[in-house]
Amino acid sequence: MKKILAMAITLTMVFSITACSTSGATSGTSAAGTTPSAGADMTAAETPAGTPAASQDPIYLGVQCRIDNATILPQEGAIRAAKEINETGGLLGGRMIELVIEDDNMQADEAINVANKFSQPSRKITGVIGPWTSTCTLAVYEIYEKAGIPFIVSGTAATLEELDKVNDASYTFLGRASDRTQADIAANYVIENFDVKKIGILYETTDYGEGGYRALDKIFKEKNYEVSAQAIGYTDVDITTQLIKLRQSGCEIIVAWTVNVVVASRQMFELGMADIPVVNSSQMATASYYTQCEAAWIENWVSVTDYFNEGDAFAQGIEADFGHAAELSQACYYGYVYTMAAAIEAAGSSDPKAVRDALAAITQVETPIGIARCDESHVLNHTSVIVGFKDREPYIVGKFEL
Amino acid sequence: MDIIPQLLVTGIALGFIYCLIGIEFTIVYQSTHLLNMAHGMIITFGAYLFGGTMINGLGLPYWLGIILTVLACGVMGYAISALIFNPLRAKGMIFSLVACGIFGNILASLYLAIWGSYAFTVPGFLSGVITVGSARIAKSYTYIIITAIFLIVVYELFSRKTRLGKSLRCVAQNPNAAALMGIKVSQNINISVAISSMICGVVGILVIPLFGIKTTMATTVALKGWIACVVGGFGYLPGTIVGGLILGISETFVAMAIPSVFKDVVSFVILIAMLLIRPGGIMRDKVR
Amino acid sequence: MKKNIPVLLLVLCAVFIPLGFMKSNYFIQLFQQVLIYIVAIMGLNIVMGQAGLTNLGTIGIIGVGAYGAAMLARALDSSTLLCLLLAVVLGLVLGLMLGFPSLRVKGTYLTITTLGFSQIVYLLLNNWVDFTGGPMGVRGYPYLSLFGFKLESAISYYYFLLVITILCVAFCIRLSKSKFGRSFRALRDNDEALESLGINIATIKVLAFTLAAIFGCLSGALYAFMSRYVSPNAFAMEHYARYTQMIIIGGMGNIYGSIVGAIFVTIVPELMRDLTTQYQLIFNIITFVFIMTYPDGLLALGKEIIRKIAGALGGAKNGNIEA
Repeated sequence: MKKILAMAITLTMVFSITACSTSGATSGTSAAGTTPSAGADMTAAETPAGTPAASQDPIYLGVQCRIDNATILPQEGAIRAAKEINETGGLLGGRMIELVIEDDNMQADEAINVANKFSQPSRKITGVIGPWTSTCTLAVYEIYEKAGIPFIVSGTAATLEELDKVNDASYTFLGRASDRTQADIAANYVIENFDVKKIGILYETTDYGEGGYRALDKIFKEKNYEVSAQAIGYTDVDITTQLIKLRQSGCEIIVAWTVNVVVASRQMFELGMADIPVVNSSQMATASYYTQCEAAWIENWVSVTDYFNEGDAFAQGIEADFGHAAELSQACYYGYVYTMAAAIEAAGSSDPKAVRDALAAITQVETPIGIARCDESHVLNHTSVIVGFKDREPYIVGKFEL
Repeated sequence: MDIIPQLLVTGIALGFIYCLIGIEFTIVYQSTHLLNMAHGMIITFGAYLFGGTMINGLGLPYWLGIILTVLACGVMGYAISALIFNPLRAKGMIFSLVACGIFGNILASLYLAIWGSYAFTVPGFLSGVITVGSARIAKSYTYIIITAIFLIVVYELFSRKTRLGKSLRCVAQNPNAAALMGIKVSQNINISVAISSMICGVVGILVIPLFGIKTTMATTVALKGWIACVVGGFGYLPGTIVGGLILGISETFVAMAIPSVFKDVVSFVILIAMLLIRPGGIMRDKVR
Repeated sequence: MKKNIPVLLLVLCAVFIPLGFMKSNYFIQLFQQVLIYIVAIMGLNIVMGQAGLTNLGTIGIIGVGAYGAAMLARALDSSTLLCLLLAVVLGLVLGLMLGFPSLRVKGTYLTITTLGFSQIVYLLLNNWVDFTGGPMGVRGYPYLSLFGFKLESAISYYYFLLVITILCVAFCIRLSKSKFGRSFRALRDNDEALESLGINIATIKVLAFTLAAIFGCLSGALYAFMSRYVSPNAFAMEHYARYTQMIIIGGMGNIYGSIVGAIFVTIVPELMRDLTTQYQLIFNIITFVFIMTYPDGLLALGKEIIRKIAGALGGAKNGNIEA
């Protein structure tokens, strides 16, 4: 009995000691995605990130998103961008970027854990790319604000533009135009190009769909259009009833704010609604979605997106490194890494506060989703592309600069 | 009024999908008394194998791809039964729930690793529309209805007329008695699960034009199929048909009446109401 | 006294180990999550581990508790113990709601009913936009205040959670030893005998579900104040298995087993983050193999190891050298 007690006490002490020492551990995934290196750094346990670093120390950027998602693989863009920057000599005179990629599974609790992890001073994270979703952003923004780490998010919910700032200067940067702006563009496209009176809105019950719906509804109602709306689940496989209701309402054009575009376009075709023009948010422009559709389903579809794959250098890079076509998710994180890198160069250091100030002053960084320019709401992206389809081949209908 | 045939066909087609899933679920439950929560992943495997490997990868003709996929699913089912279900039988339902759930997650990661992260489909497979009066029906729905009826008839014949089928039923009803009669219980269970998995494979192939091929394609229908079993009466095959049809049709019609987004709530309310009013299912009196 | 030593040790660890991690919010919040899960698991252990009634409704119950507390806090613009009290009341109501179906249905059917309940809760939380805010969730309520003292720092909230958790666990231990505990176990093992002793099965079943629901809702409310933001996808169907996993991995029916399970399932995957981004897959494989090969759970495994080591050491001391 005494032995068990002694053993247990020893184990407790050992555990506490190891835990205290490993709370200073740093890990990094090298930019090209090869085997991660982890090490316990006892002396660096409490070094604040602002301490002048040796000139060859890597610059750590956190990357937060869901890793094994179907079709949405933002981390690939980040990996590619970091690789390119490192190949051309890194930043600040030879310092290499090291990405720390963490999976938050698009869940609030895991996002909190990742944010807390990145905020540990011992990890020396200069900036974070992510989270990808609005709900994760809402869950973690206070953590990053308090820790003073600038982060560029891909969430587009309108509420993100109105977050309370913990410090006077906010560390939150919105990498994409909000749902409100994108809905604005979609709505204006409808108003300017179609002579209709009745509008149908098909939206999904996620933060993304809800946000789009509210914005669209407001704009159309202000301009005295008749609006009828139907909600679908983003994993719904049968939306016949919603489409029938829209058809019954007599709408002449539909704005579809949903990821579920393959099912929507197929069932619209099956119900004989294929001649109704559809303005979709960004999904239909994604290759893996429109290749699942048949040409006849999407002749009258356009998609308002931030990124259109025209085979540029970035797209070729993703194709070469990962073996599949580049999509919006990779384009976003690729652009954010470059934006963060430009801010680091402008700040002249990897101190998070200095980088934040530089980010707030960004005016001209080229990214696949447009020129990054920080405005008063900390929104970085201001261009949209409208993509149409002919024989299932996408082509650019128009570009919008806000 | 002219939308009623449209809704009816949609409801019936969905109902038959639920019914097929209910059948394969019941087969496993009857022989092992375990809930096969991984069946969604077996359906997905059928779809991935057919779409990814047979057609897109190897370019085989449809009929050959179907046969090979179904056989592969049978083999997979046999393996799962031998390695997982038989050992789990003694431990009880909770263990099978949890173990199958985790196993399903592992399979999902496996599929992403083998066939890539992007969703895809088999272009032109079972696509097209036929017009019946005022209703336009997807061809894939008609294939589903025909295949489902065919499978049910074949399975009933197999179960009642063939020796193997009868011994499978014996094992399901009373494993101890069956063992005393010289039937190899474990072996039969493996075969039951293999048959169930073959049906899963067929379902996976049939729903490719409807759901696309991705790891989440079968999660909702797998759950609804389970409900169909329960509504119809666990263990009685024609009951599962009734259950599936009731579920599919009522879902579709109710979704016209209320905000459609609450359609899934309807299925679960039907489920709970059914369980409270008539716990054995609609055809309870016929359940042996 | 002998039996209490491990418990004392556990409590000491829980009190002192976090002090070593005080500078790191990451570990403290992780420990907070562990405690919140333990509260929920206590409830699940009563209804599933002891009474043997399958309950997959835990995630739905937690969702109701979390939203209830969050919405009240936002409405009052103050987070106090009142919100926790609301959660307990909601738990009472839910328990009665779930308890009665359990009188009509058994086994597999009960499993499906409770699963259906979880799904309904998620669908309502997500789609009833006017009431719950829909997918955007509920935010904008303050930190929990205890008689005027704001539990703003991670470590203060942790110690508050620790007190609550210890109270819950102590309650469950007492319950387990009382006649109710015996009734629950009798329900699992031989319910006919129970009836012959004059104890009303219906009361016991409803009681079990009510306790599970109270603990679950309380856990949800505590979660709401940990993250200060609740959204429907934290309560989506994919999470339903987590709680049953904890109970099974730790050891079915055993309070300490459930605690071990909760700690294991929460902390081990996080510790594995540094190894690889595929840590979730590897954790799944490990737990799957573990469940298949050693279904008695971690606690039983631990006891066996300790017994063997003690036996080997004791044997050597007495001069009996056994292999």
